[in-house]
Amino acid sequence: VNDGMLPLMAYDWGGDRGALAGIDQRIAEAQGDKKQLKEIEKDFLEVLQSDAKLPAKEYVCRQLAFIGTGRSVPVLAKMLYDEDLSDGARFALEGIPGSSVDKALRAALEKLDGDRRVGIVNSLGERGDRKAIPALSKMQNGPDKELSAAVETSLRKIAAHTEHGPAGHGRGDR
Amino acid sequence: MESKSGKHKTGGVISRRTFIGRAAAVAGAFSAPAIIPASALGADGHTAPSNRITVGQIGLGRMGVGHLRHLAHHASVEILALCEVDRTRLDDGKMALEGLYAKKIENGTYRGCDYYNDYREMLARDDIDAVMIVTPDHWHTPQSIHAVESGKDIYCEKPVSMTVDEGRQLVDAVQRNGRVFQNGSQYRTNPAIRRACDFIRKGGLGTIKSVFTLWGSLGGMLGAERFGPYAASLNATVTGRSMTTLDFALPGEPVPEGLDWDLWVGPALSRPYNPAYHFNPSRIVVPWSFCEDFGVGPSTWYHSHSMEVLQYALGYEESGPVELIHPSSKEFPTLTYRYANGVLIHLVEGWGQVKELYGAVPEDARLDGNFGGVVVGERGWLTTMSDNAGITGGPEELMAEYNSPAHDVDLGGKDHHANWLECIKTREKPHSHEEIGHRAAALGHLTMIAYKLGRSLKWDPVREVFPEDEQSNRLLRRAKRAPWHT
Repeated sequence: VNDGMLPLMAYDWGGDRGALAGIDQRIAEAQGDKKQLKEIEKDFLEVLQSDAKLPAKEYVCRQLAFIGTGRSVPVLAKMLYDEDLSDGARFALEGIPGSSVDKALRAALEKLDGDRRVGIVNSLGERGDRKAIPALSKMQNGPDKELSAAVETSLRKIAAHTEHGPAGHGRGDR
Repeated sequence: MESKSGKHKTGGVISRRTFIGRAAAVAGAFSAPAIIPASALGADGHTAPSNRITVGQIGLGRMGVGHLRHLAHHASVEILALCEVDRTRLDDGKMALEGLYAKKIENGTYRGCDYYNDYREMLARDDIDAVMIVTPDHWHTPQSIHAVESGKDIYCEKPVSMTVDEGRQLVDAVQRNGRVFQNGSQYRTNPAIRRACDFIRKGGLGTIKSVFTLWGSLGGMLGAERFGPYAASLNATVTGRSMTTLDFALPGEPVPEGLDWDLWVGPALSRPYNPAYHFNPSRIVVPWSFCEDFGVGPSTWYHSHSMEVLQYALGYEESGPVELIHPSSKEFPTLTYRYANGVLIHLVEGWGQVKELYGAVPEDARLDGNFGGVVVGERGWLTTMSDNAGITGGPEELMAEYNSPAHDVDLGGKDHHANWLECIKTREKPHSHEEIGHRAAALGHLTMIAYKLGRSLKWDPVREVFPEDEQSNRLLRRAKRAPWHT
């Protein structure tokens, strides 16, 4: 792992948040610089694939929601199946543009259950993924009321995105 | 730019159920008397129970108990349910309510209250008309949306959202379900503040040149004694300089007995319990607000209040600026909003900066208080704050005009709660309806983004996007922990 990521490798519950200020700064200064952002993303993916602790990996996920690209998707997609990391992975994936994210979420939808499946349903709705409609529709009105409610909301959001554009691309003029 | 307040009605006229039907549906803590006294039927000047607005309240922290006391004094209200994930606070709320309703309990005119840990069970009741939401910030939008989808009208503490997108979803949900929503910005219904805002709106200051309001760093909060045990994790020397909230990872401690910590965390990423998020040492502290998962820092502390008042004064309460100008641009010494008509709102860390950095008011100008700002026009200056010094301004001729009876305001003696309750009956828009609350909160989120990125941003207040700035637009929203959704 890159030396600049060492504070993250040591970060755990009770860890010094101030020690991450340098990474915060590096991200802020890299805006508009694709090469720098690519380097940071690469470093972050190494952290995600290391034995770094949960707060460190969730810090990375928050940042990837902002700077992540398709390069992050395979690593994050695997995390969807991890009970501890699934939510963090969705935090990142929901922010990353591109069809590879939707594809990864749809694949996980079929394989997961419980809260993690509900989370995938929610993320597909937030992203307005029309290709998820057939799979989501099959889950409507099922015995799991929480899942059914999530599916209903998700389908409504997909319909709204279809009409008005996806989240983050103008919702105030409805 | 004209406010829509009071001009539009909200659909979904409140359904009046019969008293008997309601009473039968409620398994309250107090049993109904065998003989119903005249006061219960609306005699003796009392509001008959069937005409009362039945309310459930979510959140019984220090602000929550304050709201409870205020609401219980309204004759048109009957509080039927209290909800809190901390059993100690729920017990305190129960004791407070029984004291507040002691006379009604004694004379048999109170139907009783039920107590809940999970707000969803409370929202499932069809005998509750309206819900008061006084929870940490990260719950405001989810609970509001779930409540309007359950057919309830809402009073929600500010800021109403954690992100711009969440706020827009809230507005959509309130309007889609035809509910009445009041943002808990009580200064908006304060006669002194209203007078100042109306004076400015009517051109009393002439053309507005600049406006000032507060935004401070995290250090203002993290220096508090209560954070002492977690100093190593918080590292206030470094993080205290941050102008945004941060994702702190405080050490885990045992969850207090009776606290449903998982439900407290709700839609935020899971984390171990730490009392710094939850324990509230005094009435005015919002303990969670330094952590980006639970609060919005200065927006929670005062900015969402201030911006609602100031955007109302400027006629932009349902809109927003077109640009956020970061100090790194060197155009202004502090972060500044530019509106479409050219008006500038400068954020300052203390009122002294209005004089020292901008020279915008005379040296002897008295600037004091919070939850508003200083408005400078071609004819003079005026504050929109009622704390400490009250409304101040200058020059003397302007203040003489300002204080004349011609500028009296008549709110009919209505406070913010009363305005909400009246609108529940009339279906009018309250003073601080959902769009206004959203726009005030959204400005706090935009400010956070500009500080996080360290650069200026163009903003489209109609579409609510940063034009041609895909990277920044990603910060307008945030995912939620499963299974929570809005």
